[in-house]
Amino acid sequence: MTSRRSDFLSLRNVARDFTRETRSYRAIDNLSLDVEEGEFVAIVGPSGCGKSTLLRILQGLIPPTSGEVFYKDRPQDGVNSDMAMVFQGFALLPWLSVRDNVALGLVARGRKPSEIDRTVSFYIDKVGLEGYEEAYPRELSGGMKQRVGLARALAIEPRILLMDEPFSNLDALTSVTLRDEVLMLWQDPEMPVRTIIMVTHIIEEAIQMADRVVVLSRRPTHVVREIAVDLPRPRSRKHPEFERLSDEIFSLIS
Amino acid sequence: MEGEPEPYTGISRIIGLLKILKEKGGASDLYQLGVDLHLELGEELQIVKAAESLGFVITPESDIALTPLGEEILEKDINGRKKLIRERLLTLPLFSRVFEWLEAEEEESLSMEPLKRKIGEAFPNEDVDTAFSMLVNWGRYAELFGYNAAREELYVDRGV
Ligand SMILES: Nc1ncnc2c1ncn2[C@@H]1O[C@H](COP(=O)(O)OP(=O)(O)OP(=O)(O)O)[C@@H](O)[C@H]1O
Ligand SMILES: [Mg+2]
Repeated sequence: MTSRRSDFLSLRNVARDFTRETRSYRAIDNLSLDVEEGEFVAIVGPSGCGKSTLLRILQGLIPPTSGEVFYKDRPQDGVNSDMAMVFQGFALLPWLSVRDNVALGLVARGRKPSEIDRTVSFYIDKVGLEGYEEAYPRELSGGMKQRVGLARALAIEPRILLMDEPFSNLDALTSVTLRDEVLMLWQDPEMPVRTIIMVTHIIEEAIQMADRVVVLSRRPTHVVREIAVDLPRPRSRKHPEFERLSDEIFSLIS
Repeated sequence: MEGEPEPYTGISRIIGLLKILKEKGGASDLYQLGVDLHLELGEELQIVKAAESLGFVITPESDIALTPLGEEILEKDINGRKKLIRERLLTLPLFSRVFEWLEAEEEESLSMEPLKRKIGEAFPNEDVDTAFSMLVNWGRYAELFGYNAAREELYVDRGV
């Protein structure tokens, strides 16, 4: 697995330790991963293995204990402003309207009000939230809440979208629809975001959506296998290759 | 899972159901579909009924099948789906009547309580609270109605 380092995004021999009650333990060990611009990469692994930690290292929210993160061929230092995150729990502010929740990232970046207005309207339209602008999170179904989370992340026009189990808090039918819509947005030429890195514990979801599935081991976690998914979209779970990939990943994780 | 069970079925769930049906070749046995989706019968029937009321499925005997309209909405993009739902809502007596009532008001809006009363009178077989939730939620999705929760007012969404 010592492939050429990607000049877009690359993790090299990353390790991350945490301390609990004065004892230090390793969550991630010797993890290397490359992502090319335009790819949809899914990361799957056993529960608690370090998937969320990996995303936080990628975004530069926490540093690796050792190893390096390269972005656009340079060592990454601090938070990467070309990335935005979609969270499992939506992370909406209950006292803000849909519109103001979507605007949050832009406000934090100190953009001009006129620009915020224009950009927020554009992404509200794109994710299908027109008509909900003045609603508050408590008035929304889970699916609509996650569309707000998505619009907020997209509104800062990141080059890379990170998603941490984005559909896990949704019922099965709603997640079917949202997966479909996220793929539509990813393939939409009007969307600046070309690269998606999604953590999921649902193997089927990974195969349905991604170009490549990265399988992580138990803690301390590292990459055990990378599996290219060459099936045309929309992908059917009934396809024999889909089933084969699903079995392969399942046997690696369990 | 997120939140309380809603008295109405969200549009995202309906589209999810259509997509699953499509994967199954466009039709299924109702019972088997519920088993595959891990849905209780009552919940399954609520979703199926909602999809049927919008014209996306038919349920002959104990089967369920996509209609051409059900196929059509799956082919559309995010906003195309909203537009089609809007057209479908206007074919429903509840939505078209409420739309007329709102249009007849000066501000094209009505407060929740008087509106519920009118619904109760015009549609004695509907559960008024469920009907109102549906008007707000499907109406918002379709950009047909807006709802201001602070003022408890439903209004015609003119997209401004
Ligand atoms: N801030 C922290 N301080 C101490 N330990 C942490 C911290 N963040 C994560 N850990 C530990 O690191 C390990 C990996 O956690 P992480 O949340 O990244 O896993 P995960 O794969 O995302 O889990 P899940 O499947 O539950 O989402 C866990 O043992 C967790 O307890
Ligand atoms: Mg996690």
